[in-house]
Amino acid sequence: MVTALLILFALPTFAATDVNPNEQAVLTRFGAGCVVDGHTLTPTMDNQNMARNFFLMDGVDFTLTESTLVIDAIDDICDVIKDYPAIVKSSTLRVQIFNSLADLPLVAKQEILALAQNAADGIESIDISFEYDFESKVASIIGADSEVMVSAEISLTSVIVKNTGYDGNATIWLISLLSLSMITGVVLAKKKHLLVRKP
Amino acid sequence: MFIKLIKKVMVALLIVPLLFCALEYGFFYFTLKPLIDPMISMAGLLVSDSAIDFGDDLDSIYVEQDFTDRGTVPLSEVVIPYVGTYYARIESPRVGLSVRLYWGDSLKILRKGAGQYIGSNLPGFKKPLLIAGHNITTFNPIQNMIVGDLITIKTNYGQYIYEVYEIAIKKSMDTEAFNLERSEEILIMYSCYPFHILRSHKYDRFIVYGRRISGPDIK
Repeated sequence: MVTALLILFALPTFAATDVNPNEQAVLTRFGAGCVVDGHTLTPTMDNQNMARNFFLMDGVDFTLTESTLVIDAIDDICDVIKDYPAIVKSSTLRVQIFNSLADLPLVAKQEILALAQNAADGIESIDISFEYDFESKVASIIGADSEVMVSAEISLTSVIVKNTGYDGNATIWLISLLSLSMITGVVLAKKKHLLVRKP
Repeated sequence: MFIKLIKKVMVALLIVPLLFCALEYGFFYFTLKPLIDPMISMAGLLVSDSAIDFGDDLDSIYVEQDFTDRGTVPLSEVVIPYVGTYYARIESPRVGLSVRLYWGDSLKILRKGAGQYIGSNLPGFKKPLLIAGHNITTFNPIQNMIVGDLITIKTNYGQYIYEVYEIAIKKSMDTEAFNLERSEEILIMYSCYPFHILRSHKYDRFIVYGRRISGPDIK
């Protein structure tokens, strides 16, 4: 009990703070999505939850100037996306904005990344930065202590449900590759008569 | 002539064997790693004679404590965790489930305990929670659950009890099975299915649905 109390007192008091009107304006703008080629691309409920959870975090308390900055950045990002109407597909999944972003060419992704990073740099009430890992396709907001506050995978397929068990795709690829090389080796050796015992 | 010979000998006796060795090690490492990792986790559980210490490089904010019943909890008492934080415990004694619950569900997190998708909601917000666990370690016991079982989530701000009302096996891409748009507090726990078969990719998920029957609302 005493230990528990000591730990409790040692913990920083990172209490949640409610979403203020400035942050609500950002959430509303984010939820509205972008209109591209007559189709509205909207974030899914889980993406909106992530945004709301971020605004509920301790220390996140956007001012009017900051929320305006972020809303302008969302508008600018929509303008970038509008230049690529081909990303709007008939599939329901792809009219969700995060999935559609995965279809954008690299130059557009870099432009969006720059806009997001500029917006994050303009937030002064809390020290945050925005990162996107092109390899893992994960976008993250990083806090002052370099810890990930929120992250989302930008993928063409649903990323809500994870693979919780053994994933042997790598194994199958490697075994296939090895078998293929062995077969190729045998075929080549046969062709060049390397398998024939020399007299 | 002599230099040429030395070069040939170097290639034949040093470079080729080293290259072959590196290729072989690489092959076995990448081939067996996905098989061995979960087996090591499982072996650790089998041979341990005490509670497993997952000895963590992830953050923790969870503190075990007793709670008195209260209807609501002010938002100021709740901590929205950073990704990868151990923030609660999830338990169901009848099936022997008692694991750490982390905020986030990356592979790294799922090796440590159960992981909650950060696009879902914390307990008490009256919205769905989506929690994943490894099928041969942390969430292996959920295969024995039956309708009516109780699942407890203990957080720093309250204790929440959910009653299992449905158990199903569905495709991982079935969006309706993992619907986070509901306006009630549904606990959705899932794991890869089948539980004990090693297969390259599992498309099915074993899902346990629970409805909150007690615990404070967050105001």
